[in-house]
Amino acid sequence: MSATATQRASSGRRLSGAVRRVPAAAWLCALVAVLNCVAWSLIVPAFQVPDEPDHYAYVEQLATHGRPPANDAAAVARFSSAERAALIGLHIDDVRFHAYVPALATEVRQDELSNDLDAKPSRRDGNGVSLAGSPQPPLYYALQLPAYAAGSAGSPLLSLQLMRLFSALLGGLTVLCVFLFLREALPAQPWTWTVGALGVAFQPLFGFISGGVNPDALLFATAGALFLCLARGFRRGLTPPLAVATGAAIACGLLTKLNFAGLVPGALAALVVLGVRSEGAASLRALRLPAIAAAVAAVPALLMVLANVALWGRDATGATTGVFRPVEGASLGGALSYVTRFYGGELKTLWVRGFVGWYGWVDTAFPGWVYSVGLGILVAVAALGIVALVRARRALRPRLVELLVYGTMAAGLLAVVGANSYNLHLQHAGGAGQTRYLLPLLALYAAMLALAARAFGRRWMPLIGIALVLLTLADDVFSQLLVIARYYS
Amino acid sequence: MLIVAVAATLAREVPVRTGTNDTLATSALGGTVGRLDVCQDAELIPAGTGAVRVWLRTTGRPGPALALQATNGRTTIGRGRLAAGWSGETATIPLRPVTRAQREGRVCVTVGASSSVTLAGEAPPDPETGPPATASGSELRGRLRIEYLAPERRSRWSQIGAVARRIGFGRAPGGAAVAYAAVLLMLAAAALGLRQLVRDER
Repeated sequence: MSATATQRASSGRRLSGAVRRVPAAAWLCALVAVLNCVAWSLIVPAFQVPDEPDHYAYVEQLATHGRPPANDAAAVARFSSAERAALIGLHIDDVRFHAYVPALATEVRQDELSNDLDAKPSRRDGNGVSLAGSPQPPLYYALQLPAYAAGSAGSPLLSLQLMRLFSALLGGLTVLCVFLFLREALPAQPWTWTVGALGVAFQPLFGFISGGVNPDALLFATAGALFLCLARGFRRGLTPPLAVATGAAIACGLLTKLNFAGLVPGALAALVVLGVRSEGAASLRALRLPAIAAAVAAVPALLMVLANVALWGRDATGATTGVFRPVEGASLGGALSYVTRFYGGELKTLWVRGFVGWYGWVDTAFPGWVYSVGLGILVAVAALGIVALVRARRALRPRLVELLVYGTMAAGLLAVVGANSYNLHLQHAGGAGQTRYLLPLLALYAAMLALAARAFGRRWMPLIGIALVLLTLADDVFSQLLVIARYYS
Repeated sequence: MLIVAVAATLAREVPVRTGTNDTLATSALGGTVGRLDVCQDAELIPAGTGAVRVWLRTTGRPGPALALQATNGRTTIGRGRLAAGWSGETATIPLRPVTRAQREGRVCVTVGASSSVTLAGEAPPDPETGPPATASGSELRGRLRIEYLAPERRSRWSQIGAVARRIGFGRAPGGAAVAYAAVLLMLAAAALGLRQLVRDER
């Protein structure tokens, strides 16, 4: 056997060994997430997940023309005839944003839609251009190609459903990463890993988005993987395979959605800290493993930039197009003031509302009192988490740098989301505040749930943990009933 | 407790739509000053309609008394009244007798003396849905949104079959089985998750 073949066999064995070491509970939590996301995919009408027509069009463009859509300011959006027929037949412009207009409700309308789609309108005459999709990198859309192709013999609605199922699988991957992150970050109480992971698996906004066609589904998974890698590094030390894995997680994130860039500075700082720790001193050698991780992260990103410019004639990163386009009148002071209002002023009306449940094209909401109760519960969970941290302060002291890293990553993401919204505010006097943009931090949310369960010690842990999961499940089930009532009653 | 809460929610009685006039409520068509007769032609009133929900928004104060008349030429299809004191985005006026068959007609609402009601609809109107509404003879800039409702409220339980059928519309694969599959998946997810939670805790 050649040296390369031996090496390949050994890394294969290592990988299968690592997969075997994943606890059964982690797989089960991931399965629960997949089931929940698939249920959401079957409940929400076609193209009623935010920006779903745009993301579908991007995949269609990749499938039919072998390249991502143009992302320059001059490009004008044009859906394919097939997608247009589906959107018109579904009366999407009447249904979205109008909570009192149900989805297709009669056999007559269904027959009209079927007849239009049975005529097999072209799938090739669109250009995939859209405000939401075009600036984004192509990884999620490329991964959706098999699902799109599997449905290409049928109508766009079949392709869409298969793509939603693939997103649901990514939802399972996210929860798997979250479980393993908790195992590394909070090793003392294994039961709370299940509490945190199920708290994510049943989180209704997560199920809604990961049950639709939206690159956020892969963004959540890559962010979860990155948190897992870093937590593992802080607990067990940075090794060459872990450096490669961390770099790969960053690369996948950067190739998935531009917002991921917000997590990168904190992650790079963490790698440097871990490199120094593994060498025991701040030396050039300490930067070897962080450099490997950075190279693994940077090479695919640079190849994408190269392909954007040389092959596809796109903007290098997409970061100067669409909502990311630099705008006249922008200033640091203005941005800081806007971002403060963006997060502080709209805590209940936007962020909590979105987290507890706000569906469709942000047009389907619970009565106001539900959000007041939800805010109360979230505050209580945060308070319990803080109690747990205070009680564990001695054990926490050596881990302050790790906490600081997670805080920096969260702050980075908040800054990127806030900056995008500021830009959009200057361009269109609107905002881009949706709670889903913060879900890359699901791993930290799960950690808060796991800590909350531990707040009052071993005796109260089962009661609090089960209550937290049941509350999330209740939110999930009533969210699904809300969506059903809005679209189908 | 969760199962009881879901069952209680499904047992709640809610209005059941028999149809709509396919008009969105995206624009304010005007406000009322004094008594006003708002009429709209080319309405298709479905069979089994016993109430009409009209997009009339009260602006702070309780809404005035409303009287509704649906006619086809010189024939009266039905009439109804709603006492003053209603509030919100819409007013639901009973229609008697309940329609036995689908009828094309003109729907008129007399809004009692008030300056607190705004009419909402689509402006300019989609030509396919019909001509603009009129207010005391003058043409408004759009059509009023109207929904037709069954005479009695029904529990959500009693509508499960119809809702399941609608969930299967507009998707592939379609059919009511999609809705039942979603329910089964959620039951499986909840059962697996809670079982794991309880088992690991022991």
